[in-house]
Amino acid sequence: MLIRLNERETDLPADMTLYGIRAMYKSDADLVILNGAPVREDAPIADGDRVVLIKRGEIPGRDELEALMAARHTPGVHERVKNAVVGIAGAGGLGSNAAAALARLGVGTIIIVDFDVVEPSNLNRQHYFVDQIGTPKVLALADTLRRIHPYINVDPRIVRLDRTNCASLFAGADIVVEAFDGAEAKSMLVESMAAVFPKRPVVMASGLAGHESGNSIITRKISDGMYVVGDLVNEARPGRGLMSPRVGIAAHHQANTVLRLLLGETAA
Amino acid sequence: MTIRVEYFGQLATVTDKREELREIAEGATLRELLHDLADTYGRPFAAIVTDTDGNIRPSLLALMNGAVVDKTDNPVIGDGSSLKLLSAIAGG
Repeated sequence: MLIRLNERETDLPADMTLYGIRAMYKSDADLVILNGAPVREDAPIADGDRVVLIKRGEIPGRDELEALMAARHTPGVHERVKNAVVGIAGAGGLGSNAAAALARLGVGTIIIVDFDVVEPSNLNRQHYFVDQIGTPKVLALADTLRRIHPYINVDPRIVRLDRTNCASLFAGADIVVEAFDGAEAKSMLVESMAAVFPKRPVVMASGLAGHESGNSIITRKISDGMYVVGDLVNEARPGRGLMSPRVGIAAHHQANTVLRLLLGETAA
Repeated sequence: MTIRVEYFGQLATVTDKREELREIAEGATLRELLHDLADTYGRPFAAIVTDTDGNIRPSLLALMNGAVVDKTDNPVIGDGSSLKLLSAIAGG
């Protein structure tokens, strides 16, 4: 019979049981999952079953982890994203959350550029942890992304982006995510990339502050290669803060736009 | 000359338009167009696109015929051009 064992197709004798598989393939596994549910006693196996054997605390090898993580992707997605290079300009609320989503997708290389360090006020929306306070954001984020997916390439750069260095830092990126906080920096990134790489897609965000409806945050295609996520209206200012839900919605719009572009889908 | 101007976000709000056809003088630049639009739509529009000295704000993004333009070049707008105007706003 054919089953999926740790997401690899495996041919087994018809009378094989769950614990027999464990004994044969991973005798030190302390967690046995049959068709999505943990199992605590031996059970017969049928053709087409999915068995996952896990030893707690052990990091699976590259191929095995990729297969296990991509098992819930839409078929064909993993193959398209694993060789992609995505640049992220800014590692704040937008950048850190978009980066986490892209790491979970298995995007092959993520370049993250930011000069700032993690501060306590960041923790209300940014993908950092208390024990990372004071750490350069890109180093903290790289550490987190490697904990999500140890086999993607994370390229953290502690650099303040400006008109002179955007294009060179993101020269190798297929797509760039604009994830700054300041309005002027957002425009600077878009203009700087367009000046050197006019066809390189940039996914910016504008209008995600406050607690207005999350449904007002949408993705617009402004031109070939320029996408804007947000409501375009609600700016961050005293009295209208930046909070996790809407910032996260926007960041995940950005990540989803990146995914769509990597899959060749250019509509917003 | 006739051009098409498309507004996004706050600029769509203050003009109460998504787009319009606009007559401009031959050889008009982006900065001249923005001042012309500010004359039409008043201080709320001007405050978004220009500073108190009348310079184009760094946060403004302008696309001409689908391409992001460098505002500091203050490009001349050709007849039949399509412009898109969007002001980036803070938050991230």
